[in-house]
Amino acid sequence: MSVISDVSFTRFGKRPEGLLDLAAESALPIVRRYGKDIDFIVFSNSYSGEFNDISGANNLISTRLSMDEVPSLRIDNTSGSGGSAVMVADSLIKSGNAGSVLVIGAEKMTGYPTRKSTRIIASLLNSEERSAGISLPSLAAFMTRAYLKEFDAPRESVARVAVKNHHNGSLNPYAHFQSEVTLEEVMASRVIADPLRIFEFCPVSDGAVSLLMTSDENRDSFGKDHVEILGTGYSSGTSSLSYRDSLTSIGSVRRSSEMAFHRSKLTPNYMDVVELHDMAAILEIIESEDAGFFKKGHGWEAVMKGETEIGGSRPINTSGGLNSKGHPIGASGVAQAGEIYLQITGKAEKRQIKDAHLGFSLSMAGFGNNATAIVYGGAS
Amino acid sequence: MNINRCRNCGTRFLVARSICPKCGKENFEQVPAASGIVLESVELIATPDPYPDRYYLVLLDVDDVKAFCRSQEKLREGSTVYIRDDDLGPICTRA
Ligand SMILES: [Zn+2]
Repeated sequence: MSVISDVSFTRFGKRPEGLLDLAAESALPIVRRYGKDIDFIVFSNSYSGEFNDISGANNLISTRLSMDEVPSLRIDNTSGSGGSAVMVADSLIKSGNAGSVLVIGAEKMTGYPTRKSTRIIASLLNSEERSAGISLPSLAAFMTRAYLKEFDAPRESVARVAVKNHHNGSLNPYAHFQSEVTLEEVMASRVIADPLRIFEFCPVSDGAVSLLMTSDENRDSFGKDHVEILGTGYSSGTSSLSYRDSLTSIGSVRRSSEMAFHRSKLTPNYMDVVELHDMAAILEIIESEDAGFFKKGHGWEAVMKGETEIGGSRPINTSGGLNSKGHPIGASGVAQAGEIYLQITGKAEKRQIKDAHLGFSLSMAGFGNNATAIVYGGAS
Repeated sequence: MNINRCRNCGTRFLVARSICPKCGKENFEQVPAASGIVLESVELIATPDPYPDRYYLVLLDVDDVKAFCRSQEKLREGSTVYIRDDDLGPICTRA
């Protein structure tokens, strides 16, 4: 078994620093404490070539940290890079290939016009579909229309996800957005892809987060606060959107979640804290169903009843989610693990869930092209 | 716009594959798609470079194969449209 023993965030947002500066800012507190014991670096980052004109970033960051001889690799799995990075670090540790792994997730995305960054992200689509002028947000709009129609859900339920997550983000010192929004403000904000509005999408953000992961046997060398990886699950779905059966369910999310729960011998009901991949607000609802927290078609009701709020029976995205925390692509999935770590170790301050012992995160790539689910538990 | 068709089993799909997902054979032909039926459309305001500032994205049924198309006008669900290709990609207009 592997454990997370430390976490360090940068503030997410529009940052003047470059990719390596941000990565180093998040890694340094961990490297200062445990640098000599780290024998592998996993760097989660997807677009250093496109946004920063950098390749081989993992070796540049290991040199920056004066860990020149420590082996490293870069995990590039678009929006799902972070979940994959945690899964790879867990595998390295469990296989004995590494003892203690520094996982860094970072992305530097701001500084380009939105049209340019929208194009860069759309490059993950197949050309036969991309050529129609698809953006990732437009897919969320198709999904929203289909969901509202199929399950007779009120439009407001999607906007309420954004209201909740902005509230949670306002309690998270690392979040891009630090202020709440009202339902009226969400519904009056600019339409991006009809019917979805700008507050219902994650912003374009820079940011980094680092984790120290080690084996169960080694954990005493790394402080007192550990969170165990109880199970990981992963699956793909077709990258051809026109080939998918449903617009309102994501196969990779269903299969990866089922695998993670099966391997951890737990069920969704046991989870105290949950982080989902809400690039668009509708995704939080759909993933909350596909991961097994609510029956298909009923996730919106839980949002309307406040069940997914901090203090509700099933808190989701206490961090603010991608929606409010921001979505520096390579950092997002690592930040999910970081939030669960803070919650289970009782360090989540104003957004702390009482008696949080078990957690779940879902990191998703390319609108469901693949997903990594992770079940976490407090070390007893 | 072309639809890929397996010469062995007739399975059709939009995105190119090297192996038929149904029968496993590797022999395909491309069938031009000239028209389709609108399943859903979304107005996109924040568009990717180098596309125009504003357009509709349309999900079409092209003989039981789903496909995406761009449109400058709002198209009614269930209506039939013509498909052609411009410099950027497939674009559809009211039939
Ligand atoms: Zn075939």
